[in-house]
Amino acid sequence: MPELRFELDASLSSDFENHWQRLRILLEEPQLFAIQFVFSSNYELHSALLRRLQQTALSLAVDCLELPKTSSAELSDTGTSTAPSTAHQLAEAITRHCLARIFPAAPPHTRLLLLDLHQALPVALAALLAEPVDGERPAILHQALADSRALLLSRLNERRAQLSAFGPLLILLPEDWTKPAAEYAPDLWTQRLSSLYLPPPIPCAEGSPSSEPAQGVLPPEEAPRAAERNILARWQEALRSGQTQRLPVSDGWIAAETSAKLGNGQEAEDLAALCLRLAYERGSLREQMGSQNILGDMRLRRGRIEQAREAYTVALSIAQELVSKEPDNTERQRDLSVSYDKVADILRRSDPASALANYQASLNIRQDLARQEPDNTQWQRNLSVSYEKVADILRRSDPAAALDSCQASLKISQDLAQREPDNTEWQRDLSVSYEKVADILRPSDPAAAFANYEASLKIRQDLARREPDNTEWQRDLSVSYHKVADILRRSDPTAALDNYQASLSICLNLAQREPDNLELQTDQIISHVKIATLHPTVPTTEARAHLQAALQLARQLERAQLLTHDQAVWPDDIQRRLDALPSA
Amino acid sequence: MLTAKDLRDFQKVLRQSDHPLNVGDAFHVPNLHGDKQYDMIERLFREIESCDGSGLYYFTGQRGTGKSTELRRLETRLNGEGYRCIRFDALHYLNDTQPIDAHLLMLMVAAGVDDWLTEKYPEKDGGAESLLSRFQDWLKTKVELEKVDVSLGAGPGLPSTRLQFNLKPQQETLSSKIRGMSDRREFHESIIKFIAEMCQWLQKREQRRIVIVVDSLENLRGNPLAEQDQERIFGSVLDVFADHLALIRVPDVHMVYSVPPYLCFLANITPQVSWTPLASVRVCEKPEIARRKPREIGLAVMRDLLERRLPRWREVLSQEALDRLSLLSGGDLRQFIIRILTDVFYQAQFALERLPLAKDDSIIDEVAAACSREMERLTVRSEWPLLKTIANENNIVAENRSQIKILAHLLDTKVILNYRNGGEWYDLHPTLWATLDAYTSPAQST
Repeated sequence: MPELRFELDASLSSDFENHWQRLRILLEEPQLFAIQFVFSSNYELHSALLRRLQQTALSLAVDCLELPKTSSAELSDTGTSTAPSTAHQLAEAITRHCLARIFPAAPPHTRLLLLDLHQALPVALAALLAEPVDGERPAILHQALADSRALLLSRLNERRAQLSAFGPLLILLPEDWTKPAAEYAPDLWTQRLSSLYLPPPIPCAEGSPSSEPAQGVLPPEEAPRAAERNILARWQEALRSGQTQRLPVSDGWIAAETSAKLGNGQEAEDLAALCLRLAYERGSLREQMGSQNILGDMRLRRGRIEQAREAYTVALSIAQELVSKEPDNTERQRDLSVSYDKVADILRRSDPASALANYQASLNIRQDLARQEPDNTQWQRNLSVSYEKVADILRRSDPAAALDSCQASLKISQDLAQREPDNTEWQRDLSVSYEKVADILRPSDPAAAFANYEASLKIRQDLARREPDNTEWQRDLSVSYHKVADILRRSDPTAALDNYQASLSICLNLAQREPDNLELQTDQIISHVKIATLHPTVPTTEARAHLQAALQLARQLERAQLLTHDQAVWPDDIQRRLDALPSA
Repeated sequence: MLTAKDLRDFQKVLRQSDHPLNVGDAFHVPNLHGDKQYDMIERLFREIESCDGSGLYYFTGQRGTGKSTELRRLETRLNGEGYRCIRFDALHYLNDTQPIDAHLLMLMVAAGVDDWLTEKYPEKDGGAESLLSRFQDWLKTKVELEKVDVSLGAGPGLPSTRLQFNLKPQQETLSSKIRGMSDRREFHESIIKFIAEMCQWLQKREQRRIVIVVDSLENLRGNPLAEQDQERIFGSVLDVFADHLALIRVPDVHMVYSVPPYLCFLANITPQVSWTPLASVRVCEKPEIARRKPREIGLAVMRDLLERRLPRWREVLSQEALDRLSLLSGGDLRQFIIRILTDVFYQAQFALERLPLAKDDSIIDEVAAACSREMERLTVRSEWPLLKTIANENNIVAENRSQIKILAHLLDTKVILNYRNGGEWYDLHPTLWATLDAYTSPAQST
């Protein structure tokens, strides 16, 4: 058996390494039965740990059975002749499937049994639910998820004597499943090794600023131009007077977006609704589609995700109808691809399997368009974006496929940048593509990831030099410094510190220009904490100063209720880190 | 001087500690739960010895207190004193998430005895062959239950016999078949008769009294997807072990059943049956003597437990540190060995320069804090008033039936620990003491 690697991987945070070292022990003696529970609400850390475990198991030739992995095609394994359609049937089906895999008729060769009841189970359940009833799917899946976890734990507890013929059993569960796990599988629970609790997704500890806006948050916007304000004024008047006869619906879309830019969310949604009413009155399918999309956008801005999804779904059905009427019209094809993307954007967190199907549909259309007009740079760029979106989803479930998709996007970005070297948009796209490839490579191949981050950084340094006043370029550069620092954190903490400081310095400059920019404030918090945790390179006094600065900002945002659900733990986390510092 | 590798090897020894022990095993600690009047196995043995007829004995305890190890000790004790002990695990035959009744239980006992005889006496004589064949034919005709080859897929801990009654997968069908019988009473009498005949054959052959020990029935619990299932399980446990004691006795045979610890909350069965609870190691004094005061005898037992596994433990931990960890475990053996000690030894490999770790070493603090955090996750706020009362009164009194379900879970998850020094008493897991001491229940605050 090859020697286990004990050295720490420099590419990831210490939290990752601490938890990985605990899991690694399971592979040291794969013939020994052991039960390890891992509780997590941290998707990234969870996925990275699993990937490392699978890779190490492979390199050590430890047979690893991963469950639940299933698809509609495997339904026959579950002993079901028809696809399950209720929560209870789904739970029974997935449990039968898993037990049949774990306890086959022949003696098991498996050593490591990896039961991901947190992230893999919902995907497997969605695959089993082949015939969803409209509107009921999320509710069924939600109930089926809880039932399946309970049933599987209970059945495994019942078969604990047989399980002891295996090697280690690793069970991954959501963070709040400690009590249910102990109650549904009391015997496995008393026999367990100490449970691992992955820290919540606090960017202070694990994350990095992203060069992309978070889901549901639109990118920073330019101030409305005079022409846009004029259009808005006309539509505001129309809203008041009801006089809409001569107004083009497409102007209404501009008015709604302008109103939203000015922070008038309710008015923007009212304007979008007005556009929709006019589009229906005028019988224009294209305007109906566009208005539904704008209405969805406005609702999304206000956090009304379900309502946004409704609008996007109607827009998608109209786009499909338009394509069926004019199958050769490339603009209609493009509209349809946009609609698929919008629906997928909404679903990507709640239902990644459906999101992937929608992104894939969009990608197929864009591949066709790019093939038809290879010189159309917009089609090429759209295709590149589609590859990236598909990669974003696959990154969690199938990193190899995600990397392929990202590299296809990178190839297009390189081609566009080569065709028009002075086009800064293409250059920026190229930097994003390098960064995304690096993000995927980071857990498995830190050296290659580093090379890609550096390539991205180089482009961004160049863009920032060309347009020093462009805040977007500057922020991108700050993100790049930060990501390079993350990679260097363990192997070269001094260089990491330089890069974090460069990143922070840009953030501070930008924050002076845009004191209300929330993203810049959260970036600062992350940078402060990362610098503070670079001890012993950073002395305690400096670490304290950074944590105090981070805490002050975090408390401000907390008071203003500007922290997201995930960020809500930041102030306490930072306080805890401050408290843990040795006293002066 | 210890190396990191030594500490990793120590962890492996600790991780492999979780299996029932036989008397004489290197890891076995005699008198773990106390000697003389506190030795529950000795007490149970004496009760069996003093009873000439068909004795009925309940043995219970929380998970991981060493019940299976102690039942093996009982077996050794009995076999050495002129008895023949037939011991088997009920969960080889029954599902722990399905209700049972007395008929099914005794059917399982008969199957267990048959399997035991088949394994121990492959060459039968004196009519045993025909007795077993008759029993097997009867089962086949009456309830279509047959022996199957279980050697495929069998693992450690499963009987080595190739043929075994395949009751488990058919439990639900069998139950409903029995329920539907018009001659249930006759059916039950037949089973008891078969068990008695098998035991008589063995008694005659070995010239010893027979004791049947049925292990693991304490694990009965509900189906997680059925809301009312826990109630059904409680109902069935009550029905079998409290209301129909006559149905689970066998003439001239001593029957020892390991039963759920919550049975004593469901019914007052102690006047009718011998009740032997196995508790956690008493690392603290009785509340009447001194509330939560460390008890030297208990701590010495925990030291012995580690000494037998790792004679070099003093190079890793000071005695004060080990005693602190023993107290932290509340005498829960599995938590002490598999989690607390394993964690400390894991972390110690990164602090070789600080060995042996002192009582107040940061590693000990961290392990204690992690234990507390997890234990808190095993409770919900609505349970805290009940926990507070248990902590104050060192006793459990269920106010209503629904509270028993909560108590059963709290005992299962070791949030509540059971102790015995003369009488039984309860306390919270020590990692919850500070939290619950600081908690004021709404009832108290008004």
